[in-house]
Amino acid sequence: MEKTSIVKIQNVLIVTLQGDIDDHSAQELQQEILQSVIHHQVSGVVIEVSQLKLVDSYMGRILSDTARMIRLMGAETLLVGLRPMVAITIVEMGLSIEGVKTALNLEDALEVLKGGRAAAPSLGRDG
Amino acid sequence: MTNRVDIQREPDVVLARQAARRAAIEMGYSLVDQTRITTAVSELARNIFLYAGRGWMEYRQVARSDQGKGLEFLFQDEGPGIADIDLAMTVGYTSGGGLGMGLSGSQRLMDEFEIQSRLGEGTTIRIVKWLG
Repeated sequence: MEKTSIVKIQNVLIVTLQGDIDDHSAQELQQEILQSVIHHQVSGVVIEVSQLKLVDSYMGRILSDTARMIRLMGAETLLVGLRPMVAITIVEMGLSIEGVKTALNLEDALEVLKGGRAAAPSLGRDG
Repeated sequence: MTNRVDIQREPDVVLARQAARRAAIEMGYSLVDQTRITTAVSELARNIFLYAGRGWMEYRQVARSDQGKGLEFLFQDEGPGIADIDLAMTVGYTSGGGLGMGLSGSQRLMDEFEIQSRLGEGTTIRIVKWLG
């Protein structure tokens, strides 16, 4: 099962997704992340997905929705560590993960959130 | 030999993709192909759960003289069926709560994709990835 962790470092929430996450768990996780943003009063969220072997249309939508919800709440989200084969599959399927900024790794993401480096622009139309 | 995974509950979608990944690894598919296969299986298994409520996935190794070995998956349900297959294959179209990416997306990820559906009787989808 999944061993997702959410930790706060300074004013950033680091969410590490792991394992095979079913749709229901993904939805619960979304709520948990949003609650944590408010609870910890963070200005940034890093969603680390390097352990995910698969991002299908449902997980893609959850990630994109979560980033947009966090933005509505006033914080910024960065998706980091997407595996090459997962990136290939997402593009081949024609999924657009809208409104999500990305960074290559955790270090880069934290730099971006500190304002020291520009993120890759949001993916998709509404970025 | 044919293997089967029943799909009746949401966690069964995870079981279906785990079974697909194991089969793909056993047959020696590349990491990218493993991911393509597993993702397509995830979409089609979810569709059974979403639109028919229950059904099953069968999979087996196949061979063809011009293609060599491959992995074939059948997704079968006795649900309401699909009224307009062309429409259902359209990117972004959904009759339910989905994204409208499941059918078109899995077709793009696989080498063969075939769909048969009868209203009131159910739907069968067959996908194949050749080992190449």
